[in-house]
Amino acid sequence: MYPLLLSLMLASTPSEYQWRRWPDYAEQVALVNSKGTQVGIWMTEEMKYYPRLASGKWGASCSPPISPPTEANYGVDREKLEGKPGYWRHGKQCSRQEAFEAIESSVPDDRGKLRLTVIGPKDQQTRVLQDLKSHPALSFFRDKVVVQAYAPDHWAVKGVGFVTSGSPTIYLQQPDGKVLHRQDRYDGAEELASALRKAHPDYQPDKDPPKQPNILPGGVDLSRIPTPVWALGGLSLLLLLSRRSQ
Amino acid sequence: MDNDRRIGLVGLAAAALLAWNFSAPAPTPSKPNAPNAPTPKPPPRPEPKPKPKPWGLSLSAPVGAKVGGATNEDGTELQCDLPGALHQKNKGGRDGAGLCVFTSIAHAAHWQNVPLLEDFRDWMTKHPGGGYPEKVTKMIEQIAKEKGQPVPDYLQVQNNDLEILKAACASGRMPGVTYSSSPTGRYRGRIAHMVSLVHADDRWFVILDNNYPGADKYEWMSPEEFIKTYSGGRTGWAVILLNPPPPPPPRN
Repeated sequence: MYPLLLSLMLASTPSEYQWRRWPDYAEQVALVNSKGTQVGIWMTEEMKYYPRLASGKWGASCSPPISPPTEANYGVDREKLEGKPGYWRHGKQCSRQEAFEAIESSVPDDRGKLRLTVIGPKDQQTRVLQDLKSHPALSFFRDKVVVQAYAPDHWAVKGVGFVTSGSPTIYLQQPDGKVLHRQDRYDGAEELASALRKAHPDYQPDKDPPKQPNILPGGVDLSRIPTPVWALGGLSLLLLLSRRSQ
Repeated sequence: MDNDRRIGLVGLAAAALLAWNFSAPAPTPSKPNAPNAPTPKPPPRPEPKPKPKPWGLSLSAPVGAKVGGATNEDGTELQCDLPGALHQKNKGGRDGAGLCVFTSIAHAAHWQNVPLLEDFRDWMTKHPGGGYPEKVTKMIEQIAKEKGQPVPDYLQVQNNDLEILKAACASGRMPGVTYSSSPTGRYRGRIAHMVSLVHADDRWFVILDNNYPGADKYEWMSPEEFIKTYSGGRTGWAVILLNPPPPPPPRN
């Protein structure tokens, strides 16, 4: 009994089915097997399939053995979509959690993630982007900002309020658009890092790195010499030079 | 006694007749004839319930879906408001098959600043049309190699998970999603198509159809209407570029 059923099942592979329409009856499409026997019906309005049972009655709605019939195809190959549910990143299967993390890892956080936008010609963009990616002075911001770069005539920045005439223009914004910092030229990673640090909502001046002291041989720390002493020394030098010239 | 016997025999004959009648085999199912020949209808299951048919383009379908601009009457604004000037119309590949998948990806590329794929539709006109997940992977790799650029980061999803689509749109990303019917009646019957999902939340799903581009031609629908067209009675397929969205307009 069971081998017979199994052979019957194997005899009717999905590739042997096809849809047959009736010219004057668009609401339903029949599914027939290779012997021309009707084995099911697709209801086009409900978008549901009902199998035809051996008794002649109709079974409960279920998935048809082949893709449902389509009126028109605008470019999706439905046959090649069947039977492979899941998530893929770069063509490799991943889990649902990994898929969500891929989307959420760059979502701007109202408290944390700011928007850094670089506007200028390609070569100027590249210089800034490269430093953002690899310069140690800017490492603090790498996971704290969402970075985008645009040409000055790009629709996303032109005519919507951004200054686009800089070389380049660099904006730091909150997610709601409030501008925290703008500069119209790029003088290097350290200068940018200093400006961004001061504009960042979590900026704490006492956490600025200390300036390196200028120590002369013999242990004299030039930074400790008061300014009036420097002024007096300079004046003395001027008088000496003028006397010598006389 | 003879009378009783006669009555008994008649009763037996009647019973035998009835038994024979009920044991007759069910009529064999009707067989559809070959095309071009007169064909009988198959017995429907059940009798189809009469439903109003949206003949032609309907701007306010009975189920609530409608065609409109970037802002809904209830104040909802699109999460991915791509300017109308950047909308692209579907074209055909080298073999005439449609390029809706690649046009949808091009829309996302414009929105999310992925220059490599902004002209994906036009590049694909030199190749055979039609799309499916493995082909998307292959063609993205091919165009990246041709143009000497890295492959951009992207996801593909094949199931009926609406939460990941909502998460994508909420973060400003524009998925390309399968679409098998129009709740506003743009198409008659079931179609095989991909469109751009420009908004997705608990109240509204909004699509930009590359067969109907235009800033006033977004199709607004409920989540229930969307899942029906997205899944097409089976499972949906979405392509999501992962580049971030454009920055918000600056303000002081």
